[in-house]
Amino acid sequence: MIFNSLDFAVFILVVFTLYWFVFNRNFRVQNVFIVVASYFFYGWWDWHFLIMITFTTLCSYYSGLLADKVRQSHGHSDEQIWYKNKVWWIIAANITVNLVILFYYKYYNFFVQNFVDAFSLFGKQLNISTLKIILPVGISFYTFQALSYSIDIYMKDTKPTRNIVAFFAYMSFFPKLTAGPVERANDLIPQFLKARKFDYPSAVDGLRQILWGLFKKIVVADNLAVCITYINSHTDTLPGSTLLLGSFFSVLQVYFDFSGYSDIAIGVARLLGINLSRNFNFPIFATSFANYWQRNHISMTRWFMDYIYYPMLGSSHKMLYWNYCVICTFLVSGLWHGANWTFILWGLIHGILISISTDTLKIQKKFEKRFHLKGVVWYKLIRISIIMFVLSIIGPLFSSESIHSAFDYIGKIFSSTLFIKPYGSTYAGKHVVFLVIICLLFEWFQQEKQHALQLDGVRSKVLRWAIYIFVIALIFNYGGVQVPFVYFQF
Amino acid sequence: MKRFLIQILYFTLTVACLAFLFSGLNLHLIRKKILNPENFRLSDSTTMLIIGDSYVGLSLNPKYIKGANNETVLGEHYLYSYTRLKYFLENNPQLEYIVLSFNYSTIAAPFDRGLLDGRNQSFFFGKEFMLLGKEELKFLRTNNLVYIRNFLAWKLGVPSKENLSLIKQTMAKNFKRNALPFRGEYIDCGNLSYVDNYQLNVRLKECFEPDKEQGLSPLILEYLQKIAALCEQSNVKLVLYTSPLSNLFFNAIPVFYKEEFQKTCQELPKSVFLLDYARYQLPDSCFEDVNHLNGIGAKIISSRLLDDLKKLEQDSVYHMRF
Repeated sequence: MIFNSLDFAVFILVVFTLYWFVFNRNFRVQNVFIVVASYFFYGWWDWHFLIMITFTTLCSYYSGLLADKVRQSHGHSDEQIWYKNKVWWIIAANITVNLVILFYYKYYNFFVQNFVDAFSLFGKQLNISTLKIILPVGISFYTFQALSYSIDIYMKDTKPTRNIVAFFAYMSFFPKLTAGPVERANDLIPQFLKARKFDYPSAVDGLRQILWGLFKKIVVADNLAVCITYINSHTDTLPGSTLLLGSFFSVLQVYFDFSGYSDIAIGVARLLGINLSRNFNFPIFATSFANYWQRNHISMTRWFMDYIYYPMLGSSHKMLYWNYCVICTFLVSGLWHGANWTFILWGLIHGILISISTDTLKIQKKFEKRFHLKGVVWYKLIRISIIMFVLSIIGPLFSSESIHSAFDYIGKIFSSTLFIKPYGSTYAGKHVVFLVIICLLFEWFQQEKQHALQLDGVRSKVLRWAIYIFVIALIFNYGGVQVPFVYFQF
Repeated sequence: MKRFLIQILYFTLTVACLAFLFSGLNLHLIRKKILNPENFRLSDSTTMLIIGDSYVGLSLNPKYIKGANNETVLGEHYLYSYTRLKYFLENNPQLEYIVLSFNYSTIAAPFDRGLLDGRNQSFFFGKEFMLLGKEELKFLRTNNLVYIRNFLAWKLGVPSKENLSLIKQTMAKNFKRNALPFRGEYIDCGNLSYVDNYQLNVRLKECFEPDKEQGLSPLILEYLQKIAALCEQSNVKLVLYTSPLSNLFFNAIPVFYKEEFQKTCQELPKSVFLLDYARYQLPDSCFEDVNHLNGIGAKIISSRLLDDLKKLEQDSVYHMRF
């Protein structure tokens, strides 16, 4: 069941009604209902997926309890040497189980294939067969939630919950189950452990956020996807300028698609009285790469920073080591995105770009001060354009099937046809450009808000409703083919 | 909560009222302007109507066929052809022949599968949804936005980009009836020619989907019967036309489809004529791609079509292979 389907519209209507009108007397009953609804939502894809998420949830829940019990019995003083520390072993076992499952589904074929290829270089042919299995939707997201829960318990950042239903709700809460935001136990579990009251302003804003998410996904991202498909299938005949435009469209498509999903997820959760973390802060208006990753896929970036980058960095202040940690973190982030060398290289490049961007921060600030550029709009627009240009150049790494085809695409961009006028009419109606511009303008003027349709400042009800009707009319008219969410594959 | 529900109710009512206000006027204009019988009228001298998919669209040039009009829409399923045919036959009593595209890929399962494909629907709904009858809508019903929008737009008159732009088009001073989306045309490919293995693989994948299970398209066969019955009822002769294929493509057609095509030909209703040019030998320079003729090939076949048809009738042979 995907958010941009009629099935989901009916589902959320039923869930909302039952949640607030039938099960509203007791929050525990509401939690049970959330778990049932979430399992129904997830099982709609394939009921086999439920086995895996149940197993992961149970392992994480009981390992947390066991670790706590051991810790209690030792009178709160943990053994300092890790191999003598029972808590360490329990948590490590749970992390290993989760990673093995993730590895099996997501990375097994990739590693086996590379292993076989590596041996064939030395003339040795190995007969290891790859697996024909379907990657469960959202496995990376809920596995990472399980990992953070276990690590937080070990680090004493969180207390294991004894309420199994609340924990199941934390792991499977349907709005964020398939593509995040990746929530932390400390943020989400406490919300399931107290009564929830219907909050009118929050619910109304949740609906606005859903509407804006649907607009971004159905209208902008899906229409861009049609153009991109056309461009990608005609790379041999289209000029470099069109291919560059296609790559820029891909960057926009991924953003509008994923942030659209996150907006719908957050909005739906708010309708149920639950607050999810913010996942995007208008990254397309980022002025540096470090800034881009502070604004883009925030929950996952925060996860990588907290569980990989900071532990690696320790108390070191050496710039070279700092750069090394950033690059390693983004290599893992690349690998998380997919079992392909393209993603690893994509992560590596992003790591390098962030390092350069941060290393040169002092020079940038001096430059801005010298020429009084701080806060100047045109200067900001130039910086945004540079970031977008670089993202468009490395974009094919994110969307290509192999490194060879990615470089082939990039090579074709930088051909002699780079500076001729891109072909417009053959692959995109004017309406696509018009829709993108509308979306970007909304986002630009609402940058300070949580989402672009947060209309707190608009006092006139008629104007607010006119804007909603305008957005609904655009969805109705320009919504088309259901394209799956890009991040479901991760 | 009460306030929330009341606001939602008011908002929904506002949207519904706005849509209702426009839909009455729209529905009237759709019936009067778009479904106007004049829009389906062909010239009095037109006695042959060519209809179907790209096979006839690229290979039968009406310039070389006396009294013919080509109304082809690329990739058209018989379900849509039948719908348009009903309107054409109703409004053109002078018609004597209907030439319908009939090929190896026409009877293959992918043709039916494509009917419910979102992109396919997006393309055809914009062109022909307004003409579809209840039975056809039943087959095409999906719960995606494209179907819902077109249903609301064309059947209930809710304003949408499709119906508003078409109404505007019919009201323009320089409005041409044959520019309406449900009107087709012959497509002249000139002397373009791409007959190679790359094109072969693309076309084979598109026509027969070799990675999926082989099978026939039951809906095509059902609508073929319906078209035959409709033609008989209107006293019009139905001629199935199989376009020439390049040797490269013909040899690569899966055996299953070759056999099933022959079987289907043998089981055709008696009143239906068949002109099968699949093995008609033409050089590769006459093909636009592996399975479609270009302008040169179209001229050759179109020039002889009437003679072949006359011969077929004179000899009282219903099926003819070349």
